[in-house]
Amino acid sequence: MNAFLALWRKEVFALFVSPFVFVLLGVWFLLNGLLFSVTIETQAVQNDLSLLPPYLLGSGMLVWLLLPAFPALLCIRLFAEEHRVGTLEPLLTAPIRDSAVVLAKYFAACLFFLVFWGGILLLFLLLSWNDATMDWARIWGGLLGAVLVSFLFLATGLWASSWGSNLVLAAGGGAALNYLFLFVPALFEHKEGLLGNVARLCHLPNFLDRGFSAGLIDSYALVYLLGMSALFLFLTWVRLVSRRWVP
Amino acid sequence: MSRRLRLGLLTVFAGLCAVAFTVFLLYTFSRPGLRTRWDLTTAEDQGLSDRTTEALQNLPEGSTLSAFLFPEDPDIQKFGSTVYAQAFVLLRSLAEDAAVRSGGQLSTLILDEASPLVAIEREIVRLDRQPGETLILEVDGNRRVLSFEDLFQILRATPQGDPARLLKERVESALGDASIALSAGSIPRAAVVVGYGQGSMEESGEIFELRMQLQRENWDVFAIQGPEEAADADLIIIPGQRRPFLPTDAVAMADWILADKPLLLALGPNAPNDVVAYWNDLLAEHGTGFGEGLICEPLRIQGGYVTGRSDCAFLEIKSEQLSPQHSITVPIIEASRFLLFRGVRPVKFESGTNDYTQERLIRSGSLAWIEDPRKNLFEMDPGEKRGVVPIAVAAERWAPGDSGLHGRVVVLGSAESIRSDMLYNRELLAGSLLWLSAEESKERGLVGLGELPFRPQREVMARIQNIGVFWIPGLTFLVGLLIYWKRKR
Repeated sequence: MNAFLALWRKEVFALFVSPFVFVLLGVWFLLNGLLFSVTIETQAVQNDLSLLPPYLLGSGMLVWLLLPAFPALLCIRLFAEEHRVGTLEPLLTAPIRDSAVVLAKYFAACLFFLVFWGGILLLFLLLSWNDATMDWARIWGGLLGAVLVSFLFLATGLWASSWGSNLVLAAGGGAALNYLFLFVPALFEHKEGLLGNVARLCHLPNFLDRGFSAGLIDSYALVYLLGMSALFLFLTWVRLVSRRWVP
Repeated sequence: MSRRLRLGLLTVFAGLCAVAFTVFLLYTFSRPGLRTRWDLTTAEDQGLSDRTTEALQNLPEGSTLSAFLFPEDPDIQKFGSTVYAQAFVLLRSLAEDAAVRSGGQLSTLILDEASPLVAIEREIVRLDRQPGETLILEVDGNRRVLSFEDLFQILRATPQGDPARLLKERVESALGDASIALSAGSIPRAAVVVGYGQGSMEESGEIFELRMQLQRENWDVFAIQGPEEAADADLIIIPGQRRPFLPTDAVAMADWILADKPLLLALGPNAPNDVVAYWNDLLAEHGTGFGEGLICEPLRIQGGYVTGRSDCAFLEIKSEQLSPQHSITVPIIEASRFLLFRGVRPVKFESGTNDYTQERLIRSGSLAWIEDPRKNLFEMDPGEKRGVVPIAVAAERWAPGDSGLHGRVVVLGSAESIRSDMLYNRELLAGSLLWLSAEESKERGLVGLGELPFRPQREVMARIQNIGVFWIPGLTFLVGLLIYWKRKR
C-alpha cells in the first residue's frame, strides 16, 4: 500500500510539473471556454439556464469531439513515454506489484483530470457569481457523468499507452478507441434485434444526455462506466505482465 | 508447444475471461429488476411517480413507447423560444426513465433530428403518425397518442415579439393515464353509422379520415348500418344522413337518446327534411336541433367584401367564434387554431326542457346570412335572415345521475366538418370525444414549469466570456511556461 501511495504521489507530482500537460489543460480550457461562450450567447440558454448542462455536458461538441481526445493525450506519458525513455523496465522490476503500478498511474491521471473538469465547474460558478440562478442538480449530475466517462477514457488511454513506445500510436489508438465507444453505438442504436439492444445499452452520449445531465443517475450507467474502466485497467495489467512473458 | 506460445495464449485467455466477466456483469445489471434511478433535482420532476411506475410495470411485455421529438410548429419556435428545447429535454429523460422503471415491460424509441431518416420514416409509416403527435404508447396492438398540446401548456408567441413559453407540463401524468387505460384494456368504442348514405370507412372511402382520427384518439371504431347495432358502443357518431332511419333504427336511436347515452351528430344542408324533422323531434328536450338553409358569409377581399360566390358557404371559424367556456372549445382557443366548416346548416340553440343545459360551441360571424336553399345564389337577399347563427351546440343533462351517463349530445351543422374537412377540425373532434366520454373532467395533472432566465448586461457577459476564453486558459499556459522555464534552468 505504501509503495502504491508513493508511486501515486510521484505520478501526481509528475503530472503537475509537466509543461506538456499544462499546454493540454490550457487548450482544453480554451476550447471549452469558447464553447461555453457560444452556448450562453444563444437565446434559448439565456431564456432558460437549465438548458445549459444538457447542452454542454449532454451530447454537445464537448462530449463528441473533445472528451475522447484529451484523456488519450494525457495518458501517453504514463506508459508509452516511460517506455520510450527507458524508465519502464526499472519501474517494473522495482519491488512493487504491477497492479499497483497500473492503479497508481491511473488514479493519478484521474485526479489530474478532475482539474480539467474543475475549469468547467468554474465557468458555471462564474455565472452563479454574476446573479444567474443555476440548476445545480443538473450541473452536478452532468459533471458526475462527464467525470465518469473521462475516467473510462483514461482507462482506455492507459491501455493504448501500454502497448509500446510510439507516442503517436498510443495517443491515436486511445483516441480512436474512445471515438469508437461514442460512434459505434450511435450507428446501430436504431437497429432492431440484439445489435440494436446492445448499442442502446452502450450508448455513452445517451447516458449523459438522458440521464446525468438531466439530474438522473442510472445504476446501469454507473456499472457500465465503472465496469468498463475496470476492464481496461485489467487489460493494461495483463499487457504489462505479459511483457515479461512475451516481450 | 513452446513456453512463449503458451504464455501468449494464457494472456489472451485472461483478457477474454475479463471481457466475458464484464459482459456478464453488464448484462446482469441491465436487467430491469436490478436497475435503479436516482433523481437529483429538487422537484424530482425528471423521473416518474410511483403511480406511473406501477402502471408501466402492469403493461404487458412488448409494449413500446415511441417519442417523436421534432420542432414542428414554426409559431412555437419564433423569437428564440425555448419551448421545444425544454420540452425535449424533459421528454428524453422521462422516456428513458419509463423504459428503466417499467421492469422490462416497455421499450422506448426516441426519434429526433439526429436519428437516421430511414428509422424515422419507418416509424412514421408504421404508426401512421401525424404532425404534432409526440408520444405514441402501443400495448397489444392498441395505441394511445399524446400530442404536444396534450403534454404541454404553452403561452404562444405574441405579435410584439415575445417568444412562446412553456407554462405547464403533464407528461408524467399523461403517460400514467395512457398506461392505465391501455393495461386495463378500457378502450372506448365508437359506432359510426354508415347505412344511411354516410359512405364507407374503408381506405379511400368518404369517412375514412374520420375513422383514422377516431383511432388516433384511442377509440375502438366500428361501422354499423344503423343505431340498432350499436348496443355495445360507448358512443354513436352520425357523419351526415341522406335517408330517414328504418323504423327499427329510429326506435333504437330514440332509446339511445332516452337512455342518456352520448351522440355526435353532424348534418349538413343536404339532409332531407324528414331526417331533419326526426332529429328536431328527438332533440327537442335537449334544446337543440337543426334549422333550414345554408349559412353563408361575405368573402373578405382587399378593399371590402364580396358575395355571389360559392366560396361564401366556406366558413373559416376564428377563435372568437368559439365558446370561451366549454371544455370542447377552450383548448382550441388556447391553441389559437381556426376551424373550417363547409356547407353549414343552422343549429338550433334554444331552451329545451329544464332537464338539459345547452352551450353554443360555435357561431358564425356577424356578417353571416342564411341562404334560401331554393336560390343558392350566394347573395344576401332582403328576405334572408342575417347575423350570428349557431353552428354547433353541446347539450347535457342538468344533473347527471350516478350511472355515469350524462345525456351528452354534440350537434354540428356541417357533415363535411367531420368528413372531408376532418383535417381542419381535428381539435374539435378530439375535444368532443373527450367531453362525450366524460373524460374532460379528469385531473389534468398539470405541473408548473419554471424557467431560469439569464439576461446579463453586456459588460457582465463580456467579463464572463473574457474569463472563460482568455484568463483561465491564459493562466494555465503561463503556469505551463513557468514550469518549462524552471525545469530548463
